[in-house]
Parts: sequence; structure tokens; C-alpha cells
Amino acid sequence: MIELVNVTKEYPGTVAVKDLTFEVGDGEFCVLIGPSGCGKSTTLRMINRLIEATSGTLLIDGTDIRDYRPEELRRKIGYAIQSVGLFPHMTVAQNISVVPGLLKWETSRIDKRVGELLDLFGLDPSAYKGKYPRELSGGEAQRVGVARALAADPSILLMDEPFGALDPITRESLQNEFSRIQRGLKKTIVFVTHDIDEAIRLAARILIMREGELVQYDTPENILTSPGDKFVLEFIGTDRALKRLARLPVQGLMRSALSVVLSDDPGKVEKSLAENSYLWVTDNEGRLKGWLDRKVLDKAPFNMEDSIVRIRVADFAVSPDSTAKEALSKMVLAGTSSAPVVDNTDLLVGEIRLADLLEA
Amino acid sequence: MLTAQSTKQFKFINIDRVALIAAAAGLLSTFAAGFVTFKPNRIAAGEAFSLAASVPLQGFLAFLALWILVALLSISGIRLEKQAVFTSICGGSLLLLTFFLAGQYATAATLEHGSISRISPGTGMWIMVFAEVVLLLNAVQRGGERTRFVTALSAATVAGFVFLLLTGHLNDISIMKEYFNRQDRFFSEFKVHLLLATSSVGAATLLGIPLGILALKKKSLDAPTFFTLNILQTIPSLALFGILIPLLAYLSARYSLIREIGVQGIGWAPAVTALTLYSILPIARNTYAGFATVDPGALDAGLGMGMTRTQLLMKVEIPIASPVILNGIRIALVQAIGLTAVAALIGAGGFGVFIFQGLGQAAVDLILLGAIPTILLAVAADGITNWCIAVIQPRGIR
Ligand SMILES: Nc1ncnc2c1ncn2[C@@H]1O[C@H](COP(=O)(O)OP(=O)(O)OP(=O)(O)O)[C@@H](O)[C@H]1O
Ligand SMILES: [Mg+2]
Repeated sequence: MIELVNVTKEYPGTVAVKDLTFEVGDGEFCVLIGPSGCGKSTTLRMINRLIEATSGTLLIDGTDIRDYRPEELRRKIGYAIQSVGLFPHMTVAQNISVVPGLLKWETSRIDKRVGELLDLFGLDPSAYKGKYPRELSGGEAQRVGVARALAADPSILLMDEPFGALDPITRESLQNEFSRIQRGLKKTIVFVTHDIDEAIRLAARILIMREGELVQYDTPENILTSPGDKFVLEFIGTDRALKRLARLPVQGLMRSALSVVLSDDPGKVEKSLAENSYLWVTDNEGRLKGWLDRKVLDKAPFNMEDSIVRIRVADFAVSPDSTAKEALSKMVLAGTSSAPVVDNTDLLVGEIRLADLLEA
Repeated sequence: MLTAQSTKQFKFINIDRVALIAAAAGLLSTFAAGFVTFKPNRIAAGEAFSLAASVPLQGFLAFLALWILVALLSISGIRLEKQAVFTSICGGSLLLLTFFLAGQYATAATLEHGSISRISPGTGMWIMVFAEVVLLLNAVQRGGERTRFVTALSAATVAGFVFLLLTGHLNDISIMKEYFNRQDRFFSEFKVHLLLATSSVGAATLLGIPLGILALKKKSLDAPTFFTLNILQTIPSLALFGILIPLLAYLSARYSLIREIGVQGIGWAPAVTALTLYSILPIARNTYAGFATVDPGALDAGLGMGMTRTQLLMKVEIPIASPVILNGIRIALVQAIGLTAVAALIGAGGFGVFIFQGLGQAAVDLILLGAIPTILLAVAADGITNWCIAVIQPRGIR
């Protein structure tokens, strides 16, 4: 647990952080956000004493951080930054080994740990261990940077715009990947960003700062539904309803879907279609193939083969762990009021309806 | 620079322009009037002889054939790497042939006219040798995957030259005669020269590295430091010696301690002082640049991960900066070896002694006895330090 109590940082002529008090619980993902120059980096760097606070108290698990030697404190806290800062003359493996080396781990333990971490970040150890930073893409370098921060398995991780310099596609894939990793690791994370979408995607709690002061500290849901003041409202933008949908997984909103199988008796299908406005159609294994609209019954006689609207699953369906925002986007594109939910083998597992989204 | 550029530009038609120009120069000197100069004695006016007039016909034809071959090879359009192999073979043979035949001519002429006669390389021979050296260096540069082979060929050529030298084939060439007249002096001046240059650069390294680091870390010192060093660099060496002579003479007269360690207004003291002052700039500048190349993000990450300042310096900053610093030392050393030649004027010794004696006596051969070893020493220092740089260059940085 990290606690800041009345922390202030003054520079000659400016107050970078003003009387800041907040805490981050164990295993919690806290995102600091605010306009440029509002004191996010200063706050972050005071936690590992790269910057010394002018006044106030910072506690980690109840101990004042000034009770540790700075180096000792920092070796217990992971640190990743936007510019990555890999050492160019060291290989990927050597870079990741820095903190374990400082902590005098045994070589075999370090080697094992390097392999584990590269695997965790989807980098094949045999291919990447010996590479030098200049041989890595921006995304790979940042993965290595975060892996390096996690090397000695610290319980706390400080991250200053770690994905800020990446292109949007790489950034999003790294966010998702990191989110998945964090679900397993449950680190206590303080994460600085400029990007409200990133904050909403990752945070358990968002701390909004302005001119060195705390404006609002709450869950993304609460910040989106009840922004504390006009500043926060402006900051989260006019599409906050959509942003909120981005937080909601389809999983929680989906309901069971009515479907028929291609090989079903046409008479039975006709009967059940008469009772519903539409039906999903699957093959014998349950894989989504298309749908039937009740309107086809108006043009008698009913012929199953001719009536099915065959679809490209990827264009229409969403997966259970995608967001409500994506589901909405698919519905708008397809002009439908519901979207099928399929697993990664195209098996129909449910559906999500526009009406449910609007109520969510 | 020039070679690199022309390689790029003309790669697609595989014309080796440098080799072509070398061949043109070679052919020119094959027909030039002054291949060797004959003087009845050391300071008499010389008579120039062309290549055809001084070497046997077969030798002349060999030169002609080899240079034409080089010219044809350079425009043949075959791959540059292959060209490099052939031109280096031609260049090596030409170089050895040049010295061998010149030595033979000198021996024959000395037998005929007595040992006080002097046979020196003429303009034609110098151009010829220059063209041959250019041919070899150019081949090494363009060797590509054959670089090792071409380098070995060049090394063999050097070995062949040393063989000619040691077996006495060149003994009757005037420079060697000057050498034999003062063999002991030659080696003692060689030692002095080397000592002056290396001790100055050593002292400049001890001063320049901290100065470079200081200028980088303390922004307020940056401008004044480099302003001063740049001014120092622009003072002509003779003027700096001139300033130092009275200054050191005064200090030596005033303080017995300084006098006792052998400091005088002339001699090694002003030489080492001036050479050290000149050497500080390249070393301090490269130290500054070397440390400045270290990514601030890497330093922040290092500190943030819990490295101490010392660990950061030893494990990150120095490994990254040292090749650049060593390059500054290389520049300083090559420069100091050249400047040491001038220091002979103020009684410091070194190869400059021969140069200035030769100037006084209007004896070109004696001048060359000082000048050529100075150049070779500089080239050797350059090569050795470059090799050291390549060895310590971290693999991850290029
Ligand atoms: N070393 C320093 N000396 C003086 N002022 C500083 C120093 N470091 C930061 N500041 C000031 O403190 C304020 C907060 O800086 P900080 O780096 O924490 O902002 P930030 O929120 O991280 O901004 P950004 O999003 O641009 O990174 C800024 O006004 C900055 O100018
Ligand atoms: Mg910042």
C-alpha cells in the first residue's frame, strides 16, 4: 500500500505538487492523469525518491520511505518510463538482469527469471535474449522495459507514460497485454498518462490532477457518470457515455441467443420464427453461420436455404471479452439492433442487444 | 570521404575511380623526367633521370604493363571486391618493384661514382610511391568480403619492404646513407620523440577527461572551458613555445623545486607543456561528446532501478563513452606526434632535430630522415589506437 499525506513539492518559483493526499491499495491499478505540467511525474518520482518531497509524508506499507536508503527503496519498486531507457550496450537479457544483479541473485535464478519474463511478454527468449536494444522495434523495446521493471518481482510498479511514444495500434495491444499480465500479477501500480482512453481502459482508480492538486480520485465508472466539476467534465470529453461503454465487458451484458441449426426440420424452424423477430442459424457444431428474419415468412412458401442471411462472423459478432463499445460499433455498422456473441472458434454463446446497452 | 562517396555513386557501373586516377598518376610518373636524382655529393645540385634511363628495360616494361593492367581493371566492370584483390596484387608488386629497382640503381651509381655521391628519389618516384600506396589503401577499403585477404596482401607488401630494407637493398639510397651516418642518434631521437608525444597526451588525458565531464555536468563551465581550449588550439605552435620559454625560465629561476626537476626555459619542459595544452581540447571535447551520447532516459531508468551514481558511471556511462574518448586520445596523439617535430626548435629533441638540421644544411635527404619516420609514427599510432577502439566498442552500439 502506498500512502501520500499532505505531500508538497516546491521549486524556486513554482509549486509542482500541492498538499497531495491519497492512497493506493495493495494490488490496485491507480492512474494519474491531468494536463501537461500538472505534477504527475513529480508525484510519481517522489514515491521512489528520485525527487525528494519538500514537505509531507510518503508511506509504503506503513513505513516512511525516508527510513530506507534511496537505492534500497528503488530496488524494491519497479520503474518504467516513456523513453524506456534500455542500456544500449547491454543485451535484452542483461538489461532485464540489472536489478536482480544489484540484489545479488544467483546467475541461474536470474537466467530463469529472464526467460519467464520474456515469455510473459510474448517475446521468444531464445530469439530475444541476445538482441541489443537497437535491434528492437519500439513496441518490443517497451515490453523489455516493463519486463525489466518487473525483474525482481517488486510488489509496486511505477510507470511514467510507458506506452506514450508508441503508435496507436501497438499502444492498444500493449495495454491489453499489460492488463492481462496485471490480472495475474496483482501489482500495486501507479501509472501516469495523458491519455484518458488509456486511463479508462487500465485503471481501477483514476486520480485527476490540475496544477499540482488532486481534483478527483475515483473509479473510472464513477468519474464517467458523475464528474466532480467542470474541469473533469472537459477533461473526459463529450463522449463520456461511449467511454463508459468501453469499460463494460460484453460478458456481463449478454443474454442467451435463440438459434436454429441448418439441418433442423424446416417446419419447426418456420414455427419458431413466427414467434420471434429473428433467429440465429448455426451449423451442427453450433458455429454461427447467419440469421433468419421473420419478414421472410410474408413471402410464402418458406424455404430455409433461400431465406438465411449468411454473414461474415468477424463483421457481425463480438467476443465475450470485448467491450460494449465494440458491440455498439458493430451494431451501428450492420444496422441491426443486436449482435451475436461468439467464442474464438465462432461458437455462438449468446447475443447482446442495443436496448441492454442503452440501459447499462 | 571522397572514396566512400565515389563508391556509392558509381557502384552500379563498377568503375573504381580511385584506382583509375592512381593508374593515371602511375603512368605519368612512369614517363616523368625525374624518377631519381643523382648528386655527385650531398649538397651539390642534382641531375634528374627518368624511369627509362635509370632501370633496365624489362623493369620499365613491367611498370608500364602493371599500370596499364590497373587502369584496365579499374574500368573492367567486374565486381569491386574482385577488382580490389587484383589491384592490391598489382599495387604491392609495383611498390616493391619501385624500391627494389631504385635501390639497384643507387647501388650501381654508387659503385660507379664513389660513396660520396647521393641518389635520392625524385618527384617521379614520390608520385609513383604515393599512387601505389593509394592503390593499396583503396583496395583495403573496397575489399568487402575479401577485406581480410586484401589486408593480408598489403601486410605482405609492407613485410617485403622491410625485407628490402633489412637486407641492405636500399642502403645506397641517400636517405639511408644519412641514416647510417647517424644511426645511434636516430634511435635516441626516436625515443625522445615518442616519449614527448606520449607523456604529453598522457598528461592531457588526466586533465582532459575530468574537464570534459565537469563541463558537461556543470553547464556554467561548459562555454568558458571550451572557449579557452579553442583559443589555445588556434595559437601557432611556435608562438606557444615562444610564450612558454620566458615563463618557464622565470619559474625555474624563481623556485628551486621546479629547477631541480629539470625545468628550464628551453628543452622538454616547454615542449611537454605546449603539447599537453594542445592535446587537452580533443580529449576534453570527445569526453564531453561521449558522455553526452548517453541517453538521459537510460540514466533516469538506471537511477530509478536503484543503481548508485558510481554504478551508473562504471556500468553505463563509461562503457558507452569510452570509445568516443579513446577516439579523442587518438586525435591528440596523432596531432602531438606531428607537433613534436616542431619542438626540436626549442631544444626538446625528437625527429624534428633531423628536419631542422637538414633545413639548415639544405640537405633534403636529412629532412626526409626526420619527416618520413614522423609520418610513419603518426600512421602507426593512428592504426593502433583505432584497433583499440574497435576492441572496446560495445557490440550494441555502432
Ligand atoms: N527540476 C525542476 N525545476 C523547476 N521546476 C520543475 C522541475 N521539474 C518540474 N518542474 C515543474 O513542475 C511542474 C510539474 O512537472 P511534472 O514533470 O511533474 O509535470 P507532468 O504532469 O509530468 O507533465 P507532463 O505531462 O508534461 O509530463 C511543471 O510546471 C514543471 O515546470
Ligand atoms: Mg511527466
